Amino acid sequence: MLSASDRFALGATPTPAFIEEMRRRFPVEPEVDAILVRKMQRRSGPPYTRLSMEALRACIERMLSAHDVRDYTLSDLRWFTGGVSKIQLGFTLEWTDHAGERRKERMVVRMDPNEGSNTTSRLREFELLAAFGGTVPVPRPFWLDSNGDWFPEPALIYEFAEGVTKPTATTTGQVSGLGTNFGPELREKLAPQFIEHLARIHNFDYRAHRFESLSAPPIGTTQSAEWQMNRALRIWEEDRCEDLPLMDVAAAWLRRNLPPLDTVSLVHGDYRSGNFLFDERTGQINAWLDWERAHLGDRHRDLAWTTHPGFGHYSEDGKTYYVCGLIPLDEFYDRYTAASGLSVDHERLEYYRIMNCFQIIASVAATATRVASLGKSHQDVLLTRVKGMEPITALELIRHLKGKI
Amino acid sequence: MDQTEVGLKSVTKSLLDTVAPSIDPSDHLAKEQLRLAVGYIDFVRQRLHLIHARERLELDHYVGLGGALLAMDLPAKLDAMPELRTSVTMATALLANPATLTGDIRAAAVEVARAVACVVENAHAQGLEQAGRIDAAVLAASETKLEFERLWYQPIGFDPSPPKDRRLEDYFT
Repeated sequence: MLSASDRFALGATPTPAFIEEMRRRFPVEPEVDAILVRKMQRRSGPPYTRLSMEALRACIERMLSAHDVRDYTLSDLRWFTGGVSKIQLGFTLEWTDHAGERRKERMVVRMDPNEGSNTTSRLREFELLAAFGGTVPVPRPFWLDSNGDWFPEPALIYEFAEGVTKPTATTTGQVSGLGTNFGPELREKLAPQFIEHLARIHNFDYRAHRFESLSAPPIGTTQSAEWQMNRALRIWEEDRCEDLPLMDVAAAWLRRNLPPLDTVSLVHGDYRSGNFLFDERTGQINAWLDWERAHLGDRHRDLAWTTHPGFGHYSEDGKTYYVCGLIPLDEFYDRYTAASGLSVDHERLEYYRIMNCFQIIASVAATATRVASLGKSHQDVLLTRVKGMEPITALELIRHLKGKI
Repeated sequence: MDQTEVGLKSVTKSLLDTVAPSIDPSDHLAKEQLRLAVGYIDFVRQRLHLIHARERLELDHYVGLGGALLAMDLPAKLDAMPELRTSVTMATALLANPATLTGDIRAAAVEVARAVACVVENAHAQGLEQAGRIDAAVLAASETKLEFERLWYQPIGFDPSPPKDRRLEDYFT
């Protein structure tokens, strides 16, 4: 057994043997494997230093040239806040498209920092945004830099979507929209769309599209759950700076109880308040964002995530829990089944609740600490703060594990 | 007498009084970073006087958990058992000495936690019949530690329903 200091030094400066050991012990989808290997190979590289707006402008111009976009004007560059794991810059592009039409559009660059709190694929995000146009509201994607050819890190450019993530008057939902209280009037308008969009995503005909970045797990096997479990376990193993024996108890339970897959769904991966933009006046959802954790697999992963207690809130009288601040919990599953035609299996739901707690702890306690300690992101201070989510989520994990071990 | 608390208070004041007004109003990222940085300094100020005690508490937790596993009469051949015994013995000695430095206490806690985690993992990997009892001991001990940490991080503001019946200081008495 390696001492703690030797073991966790491997996370800061991973050797090729350590990276290979992680791949062998925790097999995941090929695209996820590729980005996790890239993360570890670059781990001992330099810390993040802030890019100037002019440097990013030059990256955009290089990308536009490479895509043969000419006769354009770039203006109104501005930094966006709100993203924990990605650097976001807004701008306006006036250009002539390949059909010869003159256009003026507001766009967003979404780029990885040197390392973020979630290691995810820009290719996957781009492919899904392109595929879901017309099915649910999403910003139209324009260009992709999946390998950091024009930008310092992988990036994509998509259209700017109008709207807010939470009511302008509320003081809730300050961190990434978690716990947003929309109020009764907006709840009424947003809830049906929230359910309907989730149903459409889970019933999406993924076979009608060609995805380079997605792999479909076989029905009737535990492959789907195993890929997602291995992803969470691998991140915990690669990133943490100290042990938490509770996580070893949870990992053993997850391994023993892998559920088989009944239907392959497109799983959004982060379906919650804070990840959709809506028009505050009409209550219409204008765009679903943050598709970076999407995958083909078990819809119960989304259902367990969306109903996570930290993402919603209780009514003022403390009697009703609103899922994502929108739908009473006791109505949520029935309304989902009515909209989607898909069943809800509470045993699988429970499995994914435990996996989701594990994943959140891995992210806020292991990855966030590792990334901040190495100074790798534009949000190191925020990553240090999210450690505060660990005890709440870990207590939730214990509540789920009790009686099951 | 140590002046760190006063120093941090001065840093916050300087950031808010001098640095904040000079930030480009259109640079939302810079404004957000400043707000987060000031908030974290305030959190550290509130916890500064308790950090050493917290490290001792955490080491005490792991020594207690490690001791509970050692008392289970687990097979000596189980991987990581020798390391668990050694780390618990060393940590117990450190705890007995009031002059032990904060960094040494912290390092010892990380080592005992590592040994406990390896015992849990190996017990499952080797199909040990006591694995369930080990898990139960870990859950019980973790709950107490996490309730403490929940209070510790309360000023950061992630807790949707902070406990009202306990104070952080109660854990140190």
